[in-house]
Amino acid sequence: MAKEKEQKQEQQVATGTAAPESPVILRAKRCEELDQQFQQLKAKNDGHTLTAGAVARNSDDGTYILRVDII
Amino acid sequence: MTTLKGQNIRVLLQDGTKFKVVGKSTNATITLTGNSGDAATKDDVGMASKPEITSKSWGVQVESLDVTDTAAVLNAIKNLTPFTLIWDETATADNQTAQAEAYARKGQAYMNDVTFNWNDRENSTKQLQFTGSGPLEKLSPDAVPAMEIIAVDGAYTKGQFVRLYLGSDNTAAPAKVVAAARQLSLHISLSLETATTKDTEGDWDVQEPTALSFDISSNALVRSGDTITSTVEGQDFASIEDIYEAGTPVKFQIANTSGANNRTKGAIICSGSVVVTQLTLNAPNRQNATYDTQLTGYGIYTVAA
Repeated sequence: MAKEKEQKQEQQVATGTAAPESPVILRAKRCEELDQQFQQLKAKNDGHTLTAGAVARNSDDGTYILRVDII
Repeated sequence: MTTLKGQNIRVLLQDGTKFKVVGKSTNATITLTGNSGDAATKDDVGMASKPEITSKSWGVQVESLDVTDTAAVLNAIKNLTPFTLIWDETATADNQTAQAEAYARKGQAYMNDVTFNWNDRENSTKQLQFTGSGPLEKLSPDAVPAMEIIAVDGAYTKGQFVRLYLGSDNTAAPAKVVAAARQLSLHISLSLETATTKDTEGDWDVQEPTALSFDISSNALVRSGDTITSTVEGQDFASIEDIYEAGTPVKFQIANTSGANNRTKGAIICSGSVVVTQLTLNAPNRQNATYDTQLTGYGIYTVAA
């Protein structure tokens, strides 16, 4: 259930079709991509405060994960 | 009969209408305290004391390997509002689903002490301490709380990818990372005072927040000569000592890092101003010299990436 919610949020971030729910979980194969996604999310949510947690790396598939809350 | 294992006693926090476990939890401690006064009087023969329970209080401490929610936790403690939490025996199938067992309890508690540890080549950790405010209720077996099952993944934060940046004044954003750093901790404390009065029913202590403070601790190797400034720019013992001598606040940031020497700044986790309140130089025989920096928060921190 939670995974479905995360996927839905990621899709929203990717397409920019709807205001993303908070928190948003960003995922990328490389740290640079994660930063890029984060900057895009920031640009799309101008006027809101974005907060970020610590980046975690999934040891199973090497994916970097960043939780962003939009306030 | 089997002995219950620690992984099946979990602390759950209310989020909206549902409860969910503290993810990636490694330990939980639940303490019920009977606050007592000695009721021994001159009427009692002998020397023995007679403790009488005058009020009750409770607290919960949880340790976890999940620091992806650092910003959310930093904002939550700033909100100065209590959480609704429960502890319960969870189902062995997922170690998450509450079952409203006989000793399960529910109450309101302030998150009043939080520590994040980002240490080099270690999984980062957080410790959350909650202090109960008001009574603990038994959970009815017929009213198992609504649950949100959290996704389980193998994602952990290695401490070398979260670093402390320190400025040299209290105006410009800090550009210099603490060089050759090994340990970093962020500690936030919400002071509580008992606000129980004669109007309060029952034995349970009621708490109210009175002050919020934070401090940062860092440990780093001491480099010789001009190694740091000439090769990789950063704050070292000498430059932090300059800040200490000035005795005025400087800007800080705690940020995600990557890239060369783990120094490319990514999303900022929190920022603000600090004063250097203690510097300790450790010089043990036949070991690397290190120094500890204690930074005390000046004003409130900002949580904005």
